[in-house]
Amino acid sequence: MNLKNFINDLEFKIIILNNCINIVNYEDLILLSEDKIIIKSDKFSILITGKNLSISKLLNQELLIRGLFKNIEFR
Amino acid sequence: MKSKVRIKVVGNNLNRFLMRLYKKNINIYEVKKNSKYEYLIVIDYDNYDLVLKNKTIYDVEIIEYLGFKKIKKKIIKNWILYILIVAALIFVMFLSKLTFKIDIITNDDKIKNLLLQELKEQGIYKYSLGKSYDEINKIKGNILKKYNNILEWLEIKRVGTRYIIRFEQRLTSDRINDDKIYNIVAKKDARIIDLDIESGQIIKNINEYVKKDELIVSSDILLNSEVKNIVTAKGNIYGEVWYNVNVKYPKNYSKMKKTGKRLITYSFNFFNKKIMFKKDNFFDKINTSDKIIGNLVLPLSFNKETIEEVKIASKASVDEAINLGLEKIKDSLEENEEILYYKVLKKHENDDLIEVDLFVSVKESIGKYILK
Repeated sequence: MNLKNFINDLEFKIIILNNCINIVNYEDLILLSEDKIIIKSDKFSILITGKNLSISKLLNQELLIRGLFKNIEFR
Repeated sequence: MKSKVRIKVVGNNLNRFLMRLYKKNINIYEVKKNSKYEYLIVIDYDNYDLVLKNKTIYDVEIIEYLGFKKIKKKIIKNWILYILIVAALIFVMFLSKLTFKIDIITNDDKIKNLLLQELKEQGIYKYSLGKSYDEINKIKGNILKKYNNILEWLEIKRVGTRYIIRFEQRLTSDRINDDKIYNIVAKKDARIIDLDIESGQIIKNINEYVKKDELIVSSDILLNSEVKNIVTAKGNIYGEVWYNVNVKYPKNYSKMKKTGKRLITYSFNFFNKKIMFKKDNFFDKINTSDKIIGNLVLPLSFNKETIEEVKIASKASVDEAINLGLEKIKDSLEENEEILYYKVLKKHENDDLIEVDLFVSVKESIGKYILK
């Protein structure tokens, strides 16, 4: 990892915790509903399915999703 | 720091509303679901107008200001209270700078009044503002210079809102320099051993014994029991005075003596922490601290530190005890005064203590001027 990346990390990351998913450096939010969320990164799309899905944080670079997750699919 | 705002959004399908904000590049820092139809979201205050423009069928309302905006709103709401607090603090600081009492440690009313008057002229009086360290030093110097015939040493110390004045009267100032007529009487019981009289009628001569307050030199010049002239009595009278000195000297007595080496530096004090600007390399030392800047409200002060090197010696012998007794007397002697002789009356020594009774004969000034 060079210094530039360390200071300004632009790498796409998805962090899965107990009942929330934190996504960093995503490209676009395609769909947002209570049972399905689609997020696009530079290389693939991610389909998250579950129950009572909701957004807790929605920033240009970062996204925090809460709810009961059933499936995460990389397309 | 950008101010944020928490808004309440009410409507159907609030996810669609969030998507709309996202598409408008509005950052959403926090989303809290109150119910399916009611969200509390945190956005930048700058984006609030944009949210209102795009709210369409949703109800949007500000619940709470956050960050700098919140502080600003609170200040605007409670400005009177804050102004009162600041004014009260300034008032307390002002009060702490005032002088409420001047204590002159003496029983001599004459010198006390003289000093009070002099201090007033120099700007130290009740309800006056406190002086700086340098100003106090200057005032001290001025008073000592003006009254050098009366004052040997003067200390002006500010403690809180009062000044404590201590002084040492000049003992050689027995001599009166005014136009009034004085007699000279004995200060204490003594045998006269030296008379150096400039004016006045000598009543008691060398080798005569005098009691305390007995007349030695009179202002009345007599001839055949008739007063021919009246002049003020002037002169120096030395007498032999006797003392019984009891010295109790512990066997593990430790004596502290200044070596003369000293370091003057400054320190910054914060609560009970002291940061010295220079460090000394003295093994045993005495540190005297004088406050230059500081007050009672803030636990900060800037001090001048005088560090003096001392040597601590531990000795214990009868000779030491005798020397200590003689030194005590020597310390109180003035110029031309001396110990004539001494005798050890009693010596007693046990495991912890040496006790010596001394009879000391001293030559000292015994004249005291009293108004006729």
